[in-house]
Amino acid sequence: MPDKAAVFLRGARDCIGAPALALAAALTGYGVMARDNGLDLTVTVVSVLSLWGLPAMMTYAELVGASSGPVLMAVTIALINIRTLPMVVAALPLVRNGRQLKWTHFIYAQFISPTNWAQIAAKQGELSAPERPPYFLGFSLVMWLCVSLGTVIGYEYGVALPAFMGLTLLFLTPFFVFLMMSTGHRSGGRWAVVIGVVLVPLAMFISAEWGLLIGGISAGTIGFFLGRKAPSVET
Amino acid sequence: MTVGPWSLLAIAFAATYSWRVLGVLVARRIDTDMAIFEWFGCVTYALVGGLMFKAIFFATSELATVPLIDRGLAFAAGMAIFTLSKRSVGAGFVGGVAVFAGLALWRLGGV
Repeated sequence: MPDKAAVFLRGARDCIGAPALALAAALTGYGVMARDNGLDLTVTVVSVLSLWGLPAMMTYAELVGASSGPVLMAVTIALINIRTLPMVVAALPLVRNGRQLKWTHFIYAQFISPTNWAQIAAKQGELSAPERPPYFLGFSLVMWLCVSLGTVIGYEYGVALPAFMGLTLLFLTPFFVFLMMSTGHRSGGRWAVVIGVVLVPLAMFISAEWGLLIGGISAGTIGFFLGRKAPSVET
Repeated sequence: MTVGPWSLLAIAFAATYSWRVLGVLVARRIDTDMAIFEWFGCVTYALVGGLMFKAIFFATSELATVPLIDRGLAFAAGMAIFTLSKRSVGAGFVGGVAVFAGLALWRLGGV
């Protein structure tokens, strides 16, 4: 039997450093932005821990700021976060110990994000199956702490920072998420972003309520078919 | 009728956690290479990419006080570094943010 506590601490230690810093910085920007959109601190922190993904969080904050309705929120977040389904499907076999379904898998599923998925995938050769769950939980709990801390710092102290730093934080997070959206390996995803930057804002000017969905689905579909026409193998 | 941030968050959480639960349940029985997932991926790239572009260039926040040319320069510099560095998010991010911070500091009379 592995020493679970030691493996848990090893996971925690591996998170401290670059992954934790990068996420905390991005979440500091989210804290500033959430406050700017009129959210209170508690709802902001709970939104981080419950939605657990910057694209959905940023969209949530923007939609609350724009006083959007529940239907638009449900459809938009469901569409954006359907990507968590294949992510959980791909990551769970790396995290669980054995194939049998357990209630803990539903907790792991909430913790899974691109960052800890990439980490656990990179550690595959080093960890035995029983070591995976405690390692994953150690890594993920430090992630939770760091992103919560980053959010609170941004929310509470963003306004007290020198003006140029406060402005930079407002730029930093949407720019980071935009870059993440540009990392698609296939040409369809890249076309989708290029068309999206034109169609989404345009559609939102025409219809404040439904423009986001109409523009996003249209641009995504055009990108998808352009990608099918000229498949790219570039990575 | 206005719905408060907590109710909207509950809706958003339900919308996202259901996919995770479904992922656990079908983990052994699904092919994630299906075209439909690629389409959902494209819609996410377009929708979130477009929304973030709007948040930067058609900002309603304090960011709107920063001249458009500065936001454009920082964005262009970051994207250029991202492309030239074989699509490294870290390099593009640091480059774009550094240009933005530098310009903001200069405009505000810090240097």
